Amino acid sequence: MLSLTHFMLLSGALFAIGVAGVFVNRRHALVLLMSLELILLAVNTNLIAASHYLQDLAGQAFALFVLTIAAAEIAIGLAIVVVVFRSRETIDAEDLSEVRG
Amino acid sequence: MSVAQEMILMLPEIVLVVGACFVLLCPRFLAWPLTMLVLAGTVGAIVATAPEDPALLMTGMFERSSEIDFLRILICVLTVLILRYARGHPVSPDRLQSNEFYTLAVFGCVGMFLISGAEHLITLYLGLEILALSLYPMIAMVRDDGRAGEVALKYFVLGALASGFLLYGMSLMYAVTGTLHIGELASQLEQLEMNRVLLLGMVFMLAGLAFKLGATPFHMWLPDVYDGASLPAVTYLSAAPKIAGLLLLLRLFSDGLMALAVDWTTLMMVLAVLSLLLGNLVAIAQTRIRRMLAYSAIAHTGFVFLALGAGTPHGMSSAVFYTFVYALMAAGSFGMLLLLNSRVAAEDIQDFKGLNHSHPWLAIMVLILMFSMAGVPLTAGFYAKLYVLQAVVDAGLWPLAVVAVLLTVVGAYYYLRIVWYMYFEEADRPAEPGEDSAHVFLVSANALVLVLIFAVPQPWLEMSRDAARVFVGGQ
Repeated sequence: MLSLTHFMLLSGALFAIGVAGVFVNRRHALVLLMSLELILLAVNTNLIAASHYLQDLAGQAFALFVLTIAAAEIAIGLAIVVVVFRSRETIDAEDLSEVRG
Repeated sequence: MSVAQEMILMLPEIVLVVGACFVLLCPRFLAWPLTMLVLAGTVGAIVATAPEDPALLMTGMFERSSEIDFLRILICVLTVLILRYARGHPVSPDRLQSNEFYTLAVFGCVGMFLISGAEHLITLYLGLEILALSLYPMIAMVRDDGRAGEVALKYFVLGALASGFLLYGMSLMYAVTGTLHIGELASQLEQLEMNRVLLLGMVFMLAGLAFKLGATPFHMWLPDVYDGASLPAVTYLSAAPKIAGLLLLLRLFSDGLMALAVDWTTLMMVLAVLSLLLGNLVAIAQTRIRRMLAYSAIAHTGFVFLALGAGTPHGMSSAVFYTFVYALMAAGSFGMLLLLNSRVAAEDIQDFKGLNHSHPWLAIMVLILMFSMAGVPLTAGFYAKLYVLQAVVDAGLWPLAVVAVLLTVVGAYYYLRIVWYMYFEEADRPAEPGEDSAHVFLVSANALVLVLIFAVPQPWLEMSRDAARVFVGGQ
C-alpha cells in the first residue's frame, strides 16, 4: 500500500533533480527551463498526493493554479531566451557572462 | 457579506486590473495619461472604500484592512514617481515609454496589492507571480541591448527557482497541516508538535523569500540585474517591490508561522548579519554607482531581516517603517541617477565630482539622499535605523545591534565618498543633468520628504505600528 510518505519521497527526489539541474547544468538555457519545470512538477505531486490523503480539495485547486502559472512563466522564459539568442547568437549559459557579480 | 459589498471593497484591485488592460490596448499617445489616471483612480478607490474593521473577502482568501492602506498608496505613488522619472530617459524611448512598459508597471502593482491582502497561500503565490512575471519582461524589453537580455535570463532563472523553493515549502506545510489558509495554518501550527517536515518547509519558504529579496547568501542575481538592466526597469525594481517583499515576510512568518518563531528568528538573524557584512563591505569596492546601490540594497535588506528577526511586535513595526523609508530613498536615488543620465551617461561614482560647482541644488538633494541611506541624523534614514536597533536591543540581542552599528559605520564610508566627491573634488568633465523642471521638482520633493519624516516622525511611526498589528498572530 502506498502511503503519503512514498509520494513525498518521490516529489523530494524530483525536486532535488530539478535543483541540481539548475546548479550543475552550465551548458544549455533550455535545460535550465526544463529543470525549473521539474521543480514545479515536484510541488504539484506533493500537493495532489497530500490533497488525496487529507481528503481536502484545496491542494488540487492550488496544483491547477501552479500549472497555469508554470505555463505563463515558461512562455516568458522562452521569450527571454529568444531575445538573448537574437543579440548573442548563443544560449550557452557559460558564454553569457558579460555582466559579472 | 454580499457580493456587491465585496466588489466595493475590492475596488482598488478591480480599477488596477481593468485599467491595465485599457493601458495595453489604448493608442500610444494616451498610454501615459491613462496610466496616471488609473493609478490616481486606484488611490482614490483605496481612500473612498477604506473599511472601518478588517474585512475578509472572497471566502476568506483576501483581507482588506485600512491599516495597511498607506503602504498600498505608497506603492501607487512610487509607481507614478518612477514612471515619471523614466520619461526623460534617452535609451530606447520607443520601448520604455510604451503601452507595454506602462501595462507591466500597472500589473506589477496588481501583484503587490494581492500580496498586501493575501490571507491564503494561493492568493499570496498568485500575487508574487503576477509581480515577478511583470518584472522579467520589463528587464528584457530593451531588445537591442545584449546585457539586458543576459541579466533578464539570470533574473528569470533565479526568480523561478526562488518561487519553486517557496512553493515546495508551502506544499510541505500543506501536507502536514492540511490547510492553505494562513490564519488556520497559524492555529494548526500552535497545536502541532514540531517535526522535521515542518522545519524543512519553513526553511524552504524562507530561502525562497530570501532569494526574492536578495539577502546574502541568495543575493548573487541582484548586483548583476541592477548593473545590466535598463535604468527605468531597475528604478521600478528597486523601490515598490521591496514593500511587497516585506509584506510577504510579515504575512507568511509573523502571521502564518508565528508558532515556529524560535526557529525562523535565528535563521533571519543569520541572513541579516551576512547581508549587512557582504553588502557594506563589497559596496566599498564598487566604482559604478548602480553596483554600489545594489550592494547597499543588500545591506538594507539585512536591516529589515534584523528587525523581523527580533520576533517582537516592536521589531515588526520598525521593519515596516524601515522599508517605507528605504523605498522612498531608493526611488529618490534612482530618480536622481535618471536625471543625471538623461543626456550623457554618468554612471561612475567619479561622475559626481564637482557637482556642487555646476548644480548646487542637485548636490544638496544627493547629499540628503546619501545621508539618509547612511543613517545620518536630520534625515529619515537615521530614525529608521534607530528604531530597528532599539527593537533588536529590546529583544535582548544587543551583540547583534553592536555588529549592525559597526557595519553601518563602515557602510557610511561609501555614501559619504559621493558627498566628498561632489563638494571637495574638481570635475573631470562638466555634469550635464537633464533640464526637465518637473523631474527636478519631483526628485527634490522625494528627497525633502525624507527630511520632513525626520522632523515629524510620529504619524509615520504610528501608521507603521498599526500596519504591523494587522499581522500579529493570525488575527
